[in-house]
Amino acid sequence: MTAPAAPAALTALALVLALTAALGAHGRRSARTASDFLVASQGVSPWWNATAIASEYISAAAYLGTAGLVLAYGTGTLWLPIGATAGYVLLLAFVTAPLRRSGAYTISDFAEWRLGSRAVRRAVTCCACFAGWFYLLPQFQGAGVTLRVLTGAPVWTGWAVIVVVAAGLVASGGMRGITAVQAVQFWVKLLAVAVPAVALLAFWHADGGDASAADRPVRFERTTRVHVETGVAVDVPAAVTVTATGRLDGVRRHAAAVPLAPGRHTVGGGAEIVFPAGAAVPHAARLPAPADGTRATPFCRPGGHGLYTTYSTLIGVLLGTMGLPHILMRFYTSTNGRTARRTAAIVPGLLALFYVFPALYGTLGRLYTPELLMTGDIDATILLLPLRAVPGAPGAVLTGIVAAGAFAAFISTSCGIVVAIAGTVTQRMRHRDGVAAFRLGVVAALAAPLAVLPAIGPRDSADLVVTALCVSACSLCPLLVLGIWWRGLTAPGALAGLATGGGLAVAAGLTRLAAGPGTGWTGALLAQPSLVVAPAAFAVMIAVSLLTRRRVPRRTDGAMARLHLPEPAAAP
Amino acid sequence: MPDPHRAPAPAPPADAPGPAAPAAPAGPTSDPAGRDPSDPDPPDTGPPPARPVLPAPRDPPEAPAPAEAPGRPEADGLGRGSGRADVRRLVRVQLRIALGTAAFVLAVTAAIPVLPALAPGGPRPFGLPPAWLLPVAGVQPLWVLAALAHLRRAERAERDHPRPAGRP
Repeated sequence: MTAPAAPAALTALALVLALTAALGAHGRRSARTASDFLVASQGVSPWWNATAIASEYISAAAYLGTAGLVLAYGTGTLWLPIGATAGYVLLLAFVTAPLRRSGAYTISDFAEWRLGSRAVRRAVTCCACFAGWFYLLPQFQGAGVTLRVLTGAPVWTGWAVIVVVAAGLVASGGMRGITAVQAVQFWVKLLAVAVPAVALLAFWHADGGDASAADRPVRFERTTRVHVETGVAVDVPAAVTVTATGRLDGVRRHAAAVPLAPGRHTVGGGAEIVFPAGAAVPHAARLPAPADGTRATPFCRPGGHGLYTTYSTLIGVLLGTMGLPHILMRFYTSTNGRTARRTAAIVPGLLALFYVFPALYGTLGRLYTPELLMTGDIDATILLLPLRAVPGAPGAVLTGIVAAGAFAAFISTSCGIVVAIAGTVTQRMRHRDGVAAFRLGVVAALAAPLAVLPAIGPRDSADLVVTALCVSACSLCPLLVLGIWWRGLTAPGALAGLATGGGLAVAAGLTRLAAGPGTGWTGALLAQPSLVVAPAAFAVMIAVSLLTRRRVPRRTDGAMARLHLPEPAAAP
Repeated sequence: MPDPHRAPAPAPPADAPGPAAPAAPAGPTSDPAGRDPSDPDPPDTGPPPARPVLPAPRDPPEAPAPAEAPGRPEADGLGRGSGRADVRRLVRVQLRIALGTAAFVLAVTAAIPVLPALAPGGPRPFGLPPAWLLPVAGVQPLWVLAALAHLRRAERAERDHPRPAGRP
């Protein structure tokens, strides 16, 4: 079924890998010392650095997940990319320039320097690692889906690609290589998503397209044969008679007409089901539809507690963006606080540009690839759409272009996170050569998500990435904001806040990974705890700091001066 | 090149106090006692705690951190009252600017889920639904403008900030 896409996808993968290797090798020549490995020696210009930052942020979740969300839940979920861009505005307003002036490389460094406490440092390291690990999961997941959908390879091949590329690149070229890789890959991703989008839109218009379908419940436009690769439970919205081959509701069929009543049905792996034109698309049970059955209402994330979930997700994304370890680390490569701030001011523009396109795929996906709702592979929307809308060679070429962007997306983000985790962990190591310790850190960064992945089964990348952002929103963001702006913050206050916020967010994330999406208020709270936990973390930090007022570090005034006074070299 | 892996300045983030270090950082990053076995590791890493090896700022002129610059006594925490008040004033001004930006961002964010309900119909350029156009064409540019406006105000605040005594 997907055979025509395989050569195009493999060519794209080879090209992206070659580009990555070439840029990485270029970086390797100059990366000699451990600090070169980590920070590219602080000579990166605002535009270059901003492109790299935007690139690190456009992960598999943004690239594949946004379109998938729009397919599954309608354009209401577009508010997620919006929250991400807004998060960078807050990052610019509260964090970048002071953080760069502190001279801290990681958030752990910042915490230890600001509060003079190794315990706080340890807590921060812990939170940063969890945020990074949660963030790596969707990258692996996206890589697996991409290779599986396009070439039919098992999911672990995608994971292997990430491990090999990230380990190789990070261990050889370090951050200097990565800055170049990231910056170039931003443009790769932008073109890869924009060119096919424009082409598809043109084709669809030539087809006499009607976008009003995008706001309706999803239906099969024509008789559709759905191949279910792995067994799935689906909810059928309206009675329909299908032709089934394979296991359906526990009974093996062979090209038999089967009436399906509304409600839950199970489809075995390898089954093929033919739906008549006009039938409403069943949806995978793990993508619960809102109660009204439509999937295009404004606040339509699943769970039924729409408004809470929407706001909580938005807050999580907004605040979480402020504390992402791999993004913050990038600002260290700016020359000083002023250039760091200019860098941050460019990023929202780049992200806004990128986010014009993924939603288009989701909207068109509702017309061309509705069966993904049933198989649950909503992350594959953007990958399958070109061939579905434009059969033949042009479709294959467009698929190749889109695939190149997808590969670039998870490679660049994974490398950034791996550097961030390894850098944070490395600084805890003693008696070891810096570079060797850094390489060990890389192994630690990759090992944790790999251990979890086989156990969690298929998930949507957007869901996973929101979990990571939530951890960061509930722990690292309060610490940064209060540490930078409030001289009253004390080490015990920070510790208490990190333990409350980070602990609860990580616990919620792990519970959800283990137990899957829940229902009712418990489910909504577990899925999106940010709206409750992030303010709680702020409150605990402030309250405990006030209670331990005497323990405000004596050098706080000096620290505040260093954070906020502009660099003297204003006019060179 | 003399062993570049050994970073000469072990803890650049700790604001390496100037010649006179009246208020030493409470948490010294290089503990002379060597490895402390009682010191529990962070649960996520294996290796023993250590001084941060990295990053070593290789180009000192790059880091004109106020706290390090000699001749700027106000930055060492025990400085003159005027210097401290000065910093506080700058922090207040910058905080006000940042809070203004944040208020704008939060207000728009709070309105976000409600907006599409207000504009159910509306024009359909290229036949695309308004629910797609509104976020992409309506809200994202607001963020870009907010970022640029914040950048301008923050930089102006720094320019207008009176230079403390002893500083050019």
